[in-house]
Amino acid sequence: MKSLLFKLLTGVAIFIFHGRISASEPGTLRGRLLLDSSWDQTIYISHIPTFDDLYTMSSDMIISRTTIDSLGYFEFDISFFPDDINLYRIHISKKGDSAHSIIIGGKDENHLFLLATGNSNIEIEAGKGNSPFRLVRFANDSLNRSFHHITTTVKTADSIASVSETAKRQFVERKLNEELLLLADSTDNLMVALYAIYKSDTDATLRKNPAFLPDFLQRWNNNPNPYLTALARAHPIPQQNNKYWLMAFPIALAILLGFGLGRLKISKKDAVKNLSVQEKRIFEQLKKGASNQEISEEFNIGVSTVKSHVSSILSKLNLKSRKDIIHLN
Amino acid sequence: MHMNNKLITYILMVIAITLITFSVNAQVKVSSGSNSDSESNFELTRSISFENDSKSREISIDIQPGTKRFDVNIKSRVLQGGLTLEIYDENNKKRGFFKIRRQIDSEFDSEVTTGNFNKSITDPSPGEWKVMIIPAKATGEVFIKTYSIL
Repeated sequence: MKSLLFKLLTGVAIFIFHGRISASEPGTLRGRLLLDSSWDQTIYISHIPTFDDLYTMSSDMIISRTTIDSLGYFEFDISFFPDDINLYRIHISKKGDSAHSIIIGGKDENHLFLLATGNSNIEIEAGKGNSPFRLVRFANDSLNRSFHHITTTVKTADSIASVSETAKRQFVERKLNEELLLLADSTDNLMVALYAIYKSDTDATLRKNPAFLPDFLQRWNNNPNPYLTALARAHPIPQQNNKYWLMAFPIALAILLGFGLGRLKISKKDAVKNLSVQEKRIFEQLKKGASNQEISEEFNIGVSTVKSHVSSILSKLNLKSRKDIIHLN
Repeated sequence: MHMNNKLITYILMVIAITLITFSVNAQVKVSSGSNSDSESNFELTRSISFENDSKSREISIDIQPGTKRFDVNIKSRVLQGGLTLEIYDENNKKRGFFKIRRQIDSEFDSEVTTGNFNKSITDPSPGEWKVMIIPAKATGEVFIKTYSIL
């Protein structure tokens, strides 16, 4: 009797403290689902390489699986996950269906997205909702709570929109988009921001606010992340901006050259004004191509005097020869 | 005499309760009858099969004016290759999207890969929804079921 009691107490103690001990181990994803008998008791986890692959199902994406016990508990060892945050999906399948099945929308929606690293310690508690993952709670995990908040926000808005008249539906969708973009802009976690952008109406955003995506990519430029790279690839910055810059450069150069040449012309004009009266008279003759002899006879001055004046004129105008004076405008 | 009175009272009570119950049931039946008289339901199922196919297809789904509710359910499966499905509403806005693929040398040789999409809308705008089916050397099938209440 005593040994039976002892065994019973030991079993109860192990059962109670099992959760506490496991909860402290990093590299664990555990939880509890409330499933009816129509669901198979195996749960799978897939790695999602980009946000475009959120709704891609393939056997090669599945990286682990485990059994769900009769009470709905399951546990994955995720210590082999990479150190940086990646996106994963857990899913279950209906009995009789393929193990590789994805169901989107409706009461049989069969999957949940989450973020994890090899050191994560994630605990999921599913509430009793229409679908297995509809009312999920992440305990002690602010990252996945923020991430999952996006999922629930989108689903809530979708539920309201689905039963609303057209005008209200459009209003709800517009407000949802605004909220998602605000979230993407204000969060300090890149993966949460990317998820918000992915779930928003990206086409509408690009039309109404073309600067949003380039600004976003610029903001996170120093975070090498394959998910960010995929977004940048999917939405390259329009070439039109680059074309404008290419056209603007030669125009700017032409303006600068013209300005420079203009200033050169002005400085020569100023230099001519600074010539003496006699030098100006001789300058006019030089422009006509007159020789020193001709200038000497014109002004009744010695040839050597003419040569001296010519030398002074060339020096003041920063010219090298009489030919330059002839060609000066 | 006293026993007879009690018995009669009891029988009368049973009859009264029975009559009341039947009258309630009759009312429920009538109200559902009047519902079915004022509404029309349309269900349409289309199936597309393909074998080692890469040819894209576009399936149009018309939503008539006055449709009170519109449900679309898409079930797809591939035994080989890849399949992408995109669902667009009457404004050409993407409402759903998924991809499924299966490699022949996968661990589970007898398995197929399936993808299902479900959407229900009350008071939908009239117009044409489109389902784009994009196989990539795929062998499989797609079932599109729509249900409209007018």
